[in-house]
Amino acid sequence: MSEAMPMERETELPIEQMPNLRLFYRKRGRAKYISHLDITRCMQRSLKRAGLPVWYTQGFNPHMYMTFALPLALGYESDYECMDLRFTHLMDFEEIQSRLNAALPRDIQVWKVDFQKEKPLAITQADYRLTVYPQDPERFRQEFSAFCEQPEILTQKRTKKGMKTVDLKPEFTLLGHQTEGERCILTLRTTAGQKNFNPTLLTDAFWAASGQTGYVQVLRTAVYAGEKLFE
Amino acid sequence: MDQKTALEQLILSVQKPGRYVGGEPGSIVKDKNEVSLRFAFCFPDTYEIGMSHLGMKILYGLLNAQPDIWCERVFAPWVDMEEKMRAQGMKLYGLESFDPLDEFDIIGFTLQYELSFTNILNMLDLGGIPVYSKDRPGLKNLVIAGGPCCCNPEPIADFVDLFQLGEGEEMLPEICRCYQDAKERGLSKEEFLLKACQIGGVYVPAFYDVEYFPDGRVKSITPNRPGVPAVVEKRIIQDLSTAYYPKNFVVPFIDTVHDRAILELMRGCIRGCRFCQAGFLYRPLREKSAEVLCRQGKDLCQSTGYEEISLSSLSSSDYSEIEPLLDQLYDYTQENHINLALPSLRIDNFSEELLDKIKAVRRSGLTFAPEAGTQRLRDVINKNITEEDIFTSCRLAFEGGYSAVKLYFMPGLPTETMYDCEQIIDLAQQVVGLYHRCPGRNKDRGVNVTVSVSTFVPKPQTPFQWFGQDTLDQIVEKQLHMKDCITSKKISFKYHASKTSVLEAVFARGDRRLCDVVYNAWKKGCYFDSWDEHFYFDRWEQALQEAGLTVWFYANRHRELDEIFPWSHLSYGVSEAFLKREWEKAQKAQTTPNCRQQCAGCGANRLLARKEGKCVE
Ligand code: SF4
Repeated sequence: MSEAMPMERETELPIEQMPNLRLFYRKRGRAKYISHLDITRCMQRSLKRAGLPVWYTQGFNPHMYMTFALPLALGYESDYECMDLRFTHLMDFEEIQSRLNAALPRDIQVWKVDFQKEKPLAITQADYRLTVYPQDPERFRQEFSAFCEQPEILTQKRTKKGMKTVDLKPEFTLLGHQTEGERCILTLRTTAGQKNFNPTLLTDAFWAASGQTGYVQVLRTAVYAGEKLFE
Repeated sequence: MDQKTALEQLILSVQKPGRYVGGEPGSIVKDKNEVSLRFAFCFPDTYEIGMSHLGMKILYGLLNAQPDIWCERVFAPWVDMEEKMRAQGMKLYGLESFDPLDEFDIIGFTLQYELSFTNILNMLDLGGIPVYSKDRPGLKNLVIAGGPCCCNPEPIADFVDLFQLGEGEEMLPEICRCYQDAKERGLSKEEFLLKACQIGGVYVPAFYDVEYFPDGRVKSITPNRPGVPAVVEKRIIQDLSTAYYPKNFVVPFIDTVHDRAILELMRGCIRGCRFCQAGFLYRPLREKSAEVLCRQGKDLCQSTGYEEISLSSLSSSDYSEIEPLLDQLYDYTQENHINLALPSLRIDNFSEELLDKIKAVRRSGLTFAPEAGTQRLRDVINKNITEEDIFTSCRLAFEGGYSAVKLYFMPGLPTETMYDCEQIIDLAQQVVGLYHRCPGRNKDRGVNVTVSVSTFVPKPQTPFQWFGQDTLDQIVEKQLHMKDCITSKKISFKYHASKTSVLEAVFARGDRRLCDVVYNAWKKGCYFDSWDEHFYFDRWEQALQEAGLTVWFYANRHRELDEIFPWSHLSYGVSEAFLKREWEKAQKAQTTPNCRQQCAGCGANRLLARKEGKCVE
């Protein structure tokens, strides 16, 4: 999966020249109940358990240097999570991945280790797969796709300054919709990054407008920087 | 929607879902078809509190180290979760398997504080298990309990099949083996319990009859089956260095009260503070060697990835190898980016070098527990701390840039007068004055002295077990008076809800007649009693009244020296003669030297197999 690292352990660079590494991981199953803040701590401890040479910031209160690209809401799953960090010396990427995976909880697993290519600021969009459990899947599918066709989708959004009316229409494209037994599967591409969009905002707007109800599971499947995958 | 999705939706609709999902690193999942005993280790409080508890970590690791036993964790769900579970008919489950509680062979509770008793009933009920022992005729769903409150478990004797007195590392596996054997041979619950009560430390309450005098005092406690011991003696571990200690902890995802690696320096305490139940329950002192501690500390940090390690014991300064231990641990923790959390230590005889190292370690705020405001009263309780000790340490701390001090006191101690209470505030006032006279103080910041008071609760197996607690009126009067005595804005006064202390006192020295009170109060909606927002004293008063019992009888009444206590058949190694001696000395404000200075002959040394019964060198 990941390209082999040509550098050996001995070739230690001064820390300011050490490249940032990017870890791509999945957050599935029981890991969906872990909040973003708790994921940070879980990652720190897993890195420590794996005995990897993570770089600590200097100064009065040294801590592991790590940043996360696009924080995921509690309750969502994701196949495309990114975390950036720096090592004190470089190691083989495969080895990082296998050692860390052995130390991580079963439901959080790294699938690629690479150098950081784009800055997190480059993120523009993300893909989500929504599994909806409506009262009537076929009726939901038809009404929901029609709902998304409207020229404007106004809804109330809670902000720091109280409730605000926003238009959801420019924030997403409905890429697909199909029913599978009692469920309905939706695929969405949304704006992400600087301007973030939680897909359940859209389903909530639909429930409010239609009077229907249902349970929604969210899985993030990809993150983009412009036209390309974010790497 | 399938079962799994329904559960997921439910969990995501409550606060802190992470409490209810398990799956943490270090948690142990086995195949239920490969084990012959399924054990549910239940902590009768929230996940965050239970997961901070060392005893649970030890026993979880110990039981799961047996290939044929699977031990899971169960905590009390918070009220929002419970409500949804009840609405959907979902049973309380083990966090590892998600299987309902009534599928487990043994349901084991740990009794850390009296106010968690009602949570036991609520958890059993939520797990689909009848709360009264008599309504559980079979061997399956055996309910057992361990922990410090077993020193007087009578208020819950009707609900629990078997109590474990003392330390569990040897006793609990013995109970499990006995159970597995009984299960295999198809023995009845009664047959199993008769065998189990032969195991040292095991107390089966149903095997004892209690008779009362017309005024409610206990007349006699007698075994009602042949072969049942008249007195049950607690179990101890002989050698802490060779005893089992987990190499790994379950590392929670969510924030818990104490989320770090813990090293247990020793059990027992040499001090003999007369109010302190733990000081008597865990006698005699047994230390773990520094070498073993260092190894266990490294193992734990490596397997958990924790960024902090703390030392646990009743009085860490008394640990005889504290200096070599800190010296070694300090180097290891520094190299590995681990914070070494130091307890408040008496540091007078440390080397310069170690002092310098320790200074570099960030320390939590400055706290002292003088417990009483006057030297006389501190002598009554045998608390070996003088005003001079406090002032010296405060001066050092102020010079070092500290400006906040927390002082803990315990109003309501035997022989206390209003003067003693006034002196609590006076002591705080003197600390404020000391700060202002301290040339090296941090001049940018004002001093803050917090006075935190919690009402004394007389506890069984201590020299104060004969003493009646202050009445609610007296407690409130003292608190208000102390508040009135404060003239400085630099002093903040914190006091604990007094009614919970009263209920704690009722349970602490209660008898079996309280079982129905516990049941009825629970039925009236009392549980999570240790949570102020969830405490309904009026419901408890009502339940007591309905049973014809009073708070006064249990909490406030002074007991005669020859009274038979509800726990007279339970021995913690410390002799009643010694406790009486200490009680008499207390009333004359006479102190007793600590165990290292001179053995006071408490009797706990009888429990030791080694050293010809000598507790300390
Ligand atoms: S027997 Fe003596 S040394 Fe041992 S705990 Fe009792 S008083 Fe202390």
